[in-house]
Amino acid sequence: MANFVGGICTSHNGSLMHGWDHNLRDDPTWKPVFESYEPVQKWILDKKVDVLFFVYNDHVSNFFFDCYPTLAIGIAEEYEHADEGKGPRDLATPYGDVAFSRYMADKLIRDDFDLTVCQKMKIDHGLMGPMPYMSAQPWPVKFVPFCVNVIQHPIPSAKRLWNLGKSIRKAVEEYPEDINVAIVGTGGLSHELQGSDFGRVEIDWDNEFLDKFEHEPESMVNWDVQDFMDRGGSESAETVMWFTMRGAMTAKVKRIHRNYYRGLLTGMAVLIFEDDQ
Amino acid sequence: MVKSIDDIKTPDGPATFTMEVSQQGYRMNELCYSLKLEHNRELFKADYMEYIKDYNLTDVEIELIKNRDWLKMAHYGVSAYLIGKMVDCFDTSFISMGATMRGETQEDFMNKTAPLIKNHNKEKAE
Repeated sequence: MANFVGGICTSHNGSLMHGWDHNLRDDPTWKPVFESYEPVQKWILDKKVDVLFFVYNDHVSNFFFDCYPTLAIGIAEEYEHADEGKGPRDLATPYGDVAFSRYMADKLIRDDFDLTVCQKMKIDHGLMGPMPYMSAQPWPVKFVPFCVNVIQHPIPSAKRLWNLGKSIRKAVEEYPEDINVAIVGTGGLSHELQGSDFGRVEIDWDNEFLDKFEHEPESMVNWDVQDFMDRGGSESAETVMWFTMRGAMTAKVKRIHRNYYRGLLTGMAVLIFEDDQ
Repeated sequence: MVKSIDDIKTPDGPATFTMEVSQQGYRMNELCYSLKLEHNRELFKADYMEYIKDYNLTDVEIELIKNRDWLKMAHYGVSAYLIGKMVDCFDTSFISMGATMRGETQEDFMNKTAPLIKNHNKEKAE
């Protein structure tokens, strides 16, 4: 049977592409960002993770508003890199675990999550922003890319995505193959990318969020999306995706890693949790 | 109904991208989305006024582009991620776009922000 090994949460801001593509590893400003992912690299290898169930959002790179899915899952053998303005990025090909992806789509739809199922999907910085920091290439893992609309409001609530996490966890544990699966929640933390407060970052709120997210996530599960936006800026609505990861975990978690970095436009955090029961 | 550029209001705070504004900005968003293809980017950069003819834009929308009025575009209903694609093609940076929305120069914004960029781990003691 498949083994659920734990969860990772990470920001996926666009500047991560800049840092990676310009190889800023030794730049004093960027060094702490690269270093903050070293525990993730180690954890993925130590846990022998076979598949990352990766919850992220597309930034109008693959999907357009002619038909913008609320929840979409990829079931492909491999995925292409999106062209986000400078051509497809020079990164290793992300391969899918087709049988597992199909199984997850089947299970989640039967469990009342009405997914859009994608046989072709180009992956943008929602996934490939943080991924090069999280692992050496070629990727030692396969991917189940799972997209959530967090751009065109209304977007799914934290509660909905928390429940999705619970269904994902249950499905993973019933999967008959012997693979190690980790879940990744992405997005946030505070940021606002348009309007008169462009560049808004809330360092204190982000740290408080990280405390609550670890110790008392249920205190935020019933919040309206607007409650997150009021505290962390309009684009921090993305933070609802973190609740998919948290819903998949036990109520009490063992924290393996936590770091918070105030980026140029975004409060950036990295977390690793394992079950603690 | 937006009949003139003055009809687009820019109240302080974010321009939340709702279905309503998304519908209003659909043609503009479609134009920006087309710039995900290298070929289209080249055409846009060569002569954007010619390129945008295919998108049935209103006079107000054309004015928004001519004025590079990113703030009004956001409030009108162009997604920030899609404005970003057009900004790139005008050889402007996303930071410069954002500073403009704040009513600042890129230099002012960077000078103010740069010293804050670092780890800020403030975990509450248990």
